Amino acid sequence: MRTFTVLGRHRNLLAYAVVIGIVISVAQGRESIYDVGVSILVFGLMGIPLALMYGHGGIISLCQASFAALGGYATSILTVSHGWSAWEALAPSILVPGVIAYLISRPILRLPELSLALTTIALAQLWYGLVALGGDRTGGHVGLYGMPALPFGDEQLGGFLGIAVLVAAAIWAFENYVRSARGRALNAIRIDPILARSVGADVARERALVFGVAAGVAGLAGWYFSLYVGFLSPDSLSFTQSFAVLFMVVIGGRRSSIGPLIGSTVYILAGDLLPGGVAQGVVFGAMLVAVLLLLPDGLASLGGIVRRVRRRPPGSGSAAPRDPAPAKRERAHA
Amino acid sequence: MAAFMEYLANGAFFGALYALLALPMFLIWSTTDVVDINIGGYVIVAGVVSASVGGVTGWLLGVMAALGMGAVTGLLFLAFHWLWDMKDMMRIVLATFGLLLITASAVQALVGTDNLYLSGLSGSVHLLGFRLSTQGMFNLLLASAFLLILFIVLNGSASGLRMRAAAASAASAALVGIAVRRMQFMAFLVGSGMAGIVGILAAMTTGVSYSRGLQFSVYAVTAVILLGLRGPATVFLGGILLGIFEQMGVAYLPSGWSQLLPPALILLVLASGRSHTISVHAVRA
Amino acid sequence: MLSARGIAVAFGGVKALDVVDVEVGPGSIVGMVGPNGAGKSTLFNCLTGVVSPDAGTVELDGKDITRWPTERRARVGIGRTFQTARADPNSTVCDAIMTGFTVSTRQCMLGAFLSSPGVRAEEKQFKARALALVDTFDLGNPDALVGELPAPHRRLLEVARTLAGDAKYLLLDEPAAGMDSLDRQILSKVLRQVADRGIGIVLVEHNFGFVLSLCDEVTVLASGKVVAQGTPEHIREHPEIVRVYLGQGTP
Repeated sequence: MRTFTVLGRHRNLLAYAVVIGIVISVAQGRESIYDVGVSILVFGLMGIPLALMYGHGGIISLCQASFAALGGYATSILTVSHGWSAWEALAPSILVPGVIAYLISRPILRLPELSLALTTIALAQLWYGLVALGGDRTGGHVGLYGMPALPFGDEQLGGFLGIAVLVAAAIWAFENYVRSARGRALNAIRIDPILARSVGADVARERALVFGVAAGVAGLAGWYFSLYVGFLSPDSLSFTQSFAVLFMVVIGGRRSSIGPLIGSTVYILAGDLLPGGVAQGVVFGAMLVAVLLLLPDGLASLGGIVRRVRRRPPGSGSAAPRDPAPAKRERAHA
Repeated sequence: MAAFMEYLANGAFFGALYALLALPMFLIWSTTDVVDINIGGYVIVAGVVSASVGGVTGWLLGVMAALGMGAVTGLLFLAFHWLWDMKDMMRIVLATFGLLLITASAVQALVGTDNLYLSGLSGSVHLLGFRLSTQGMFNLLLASAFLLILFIVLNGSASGLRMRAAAASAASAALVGIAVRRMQFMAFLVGSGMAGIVGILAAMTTGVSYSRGLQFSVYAVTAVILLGLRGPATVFLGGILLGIFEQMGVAYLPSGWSQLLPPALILLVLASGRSHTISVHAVRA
Repeated sequence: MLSARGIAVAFGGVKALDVVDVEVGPGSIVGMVGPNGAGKSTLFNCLTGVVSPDAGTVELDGKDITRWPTERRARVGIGRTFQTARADPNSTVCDAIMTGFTVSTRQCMLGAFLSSPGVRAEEKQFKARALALVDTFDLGNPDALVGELPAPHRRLLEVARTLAGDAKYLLLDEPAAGMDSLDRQILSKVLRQVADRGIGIVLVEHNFGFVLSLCDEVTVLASGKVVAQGTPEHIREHPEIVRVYLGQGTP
């Protein structure tokens, strides 16, 4: 029974592991497939904590890529200028963005949700400007290069497996969190801050903590990205990428741990198929509007809808409600 | 000192555009609870249409194009409320991001990536020993006129009062028989028209290209929250102040640093944590 | 002892409450009744921390908590329900009750992410307690969606969630509104059991009969002033109350 519930909690992780296995067996060591896979997974790693933050906590970030860049620059500067190893740079690349995000958001999160979204837009611009003005330290507009290789072995497969394991850990942690008292508090805050406060939740603190964790995980993605590419400039992880991460979370499913991965797969593959920036802008913009309007919990919620429709008609085995009055379904609200 | 005064005047002239854009941002924000990020889209569409067509026909077509896009945003807003019991306005805000993305890409497809100019007023006036640009003075005068008109309409006319009631409390306004949804749609329409005029002035002043949409939206948001969502005059003043800050930054900060001013201002204002800077209803979360 | 002394609140010159005292001790049930606009909701909001009184103090066991925000009061054991049920219609009954454990959880963030043994043990215990509450309140299937519950059951759910939070005092905002007599019986029975465990209860109600049959102490408010205060027997015989409220023999 217990093993069954553990599997039920982690069935997304299982599905993910199966897909990764299939990709590896299909790829047969072909570099291009691993490259595409790594792009999808790096975006996914930035998106999964954003799904927790937006889908469960109700707050939006438009600077996930900036926090990744912060982690990436921490890694690059420490490894290139100070001779740290890739592993030694891991902790700072997570902690620096995480702590900064927590400290900045704490006072701002006493205000309604919108204020954090505006803050993140401002942060993205500020960060971009500061990096460009950073001179020799950040490499300015030119950027930094000469980072050590990823510490996952020389093979392409090693790099791919490394990010795949990081993403698996993120999915696992996500599923744990939403089933804990802290996760329930986060959801209560999104649905009704007044109710959440009445059960003792500290609205600003809970949200700031999740925002900090999301930034830290983005920093981890930045650590991986800077070592994988071996080059980092202000434009590698800019506002465009931050917006893309949010796009993926919305398209794939903001409440699901694998929604961001579905979204990043759509984004990367459609980006390869569509001819150039103009077509991409129109198609991605239209997709964003359509999904927000018609399918607020994204493509990942399609499975749940199908399951519910199939489960509904017969008595479904569970005890009937005490009151036979027809239960009025309330419209799902966001 | 003379140089300082000139920067001040130039700042106010640039700020006039932000102020004129802050008015529709405020109008839509307060009536619908939505921060319309597509507002920068209205600006660039009106700008490039007027610049490509030219002349008075260009102005008219530019404003009409902006109005058409405002109608699209308004209809989308109504569709959200028609389909769902909307509590999470961030979803609509994100959708306006999507609209801006479509707008900017469409503009790029139609007129390319160049910065397009519209011939405006040339030359400058010498006043009290300062050289002031004619176009800048015109922008400031026109923006002030719009503030006055908006003020009179909101306070004097029946539909203006209805709109203010809808902004103060949609629920109470509905109770006294105001068609709140129609008022909200009107806010998008009127707002897009005003943003269209900003587009034409911007094409005369600095030129307009597809890539500046988001920048205009961010400036409008900054102007609105700088002094808080208290009323048209306050957000207008916020726009003027933003222009002055920006010009002072260009003049006195090392090159490149002035572009950090708007985001730094947003951060400072929000971190000070006063709720009316972000909400008309001044509720704490 | 949770007490409010000398509470006065004015909204724009209108006196909503004009020097009112009310107190509840462990294990007793105190009811506040009165017509609309009597000030009972305002008094309730002063106790929960939604309204800050212009004068007077709110004290918990001698500690002044007048200016404390709601969440801080929750943490020292003051739980509340709302007039309109606020639980998420899309969550399950069990999860909605488990939201109430927010105030007493010892889960740290890292533990929640890693699902540490401590977190798992606590979750198991929370789940068992929530299921017991579902039973106590006869709420049916714990996995049903809140939105599918009939309205009176959603009110019972509100009380159940508050009980989950180990409150020492419960503040209930019209808990019996819209309930039929069967549901009211369940509610009365449960509230009495709760009080017998040493928990103090304050409730605001329209229904005189319900309050008089359940409460140990009753405060009758009208136009922001206390009309009568005392045991149900005392209230039943109070000349003013008999004349105005009980004269027609309604309850």
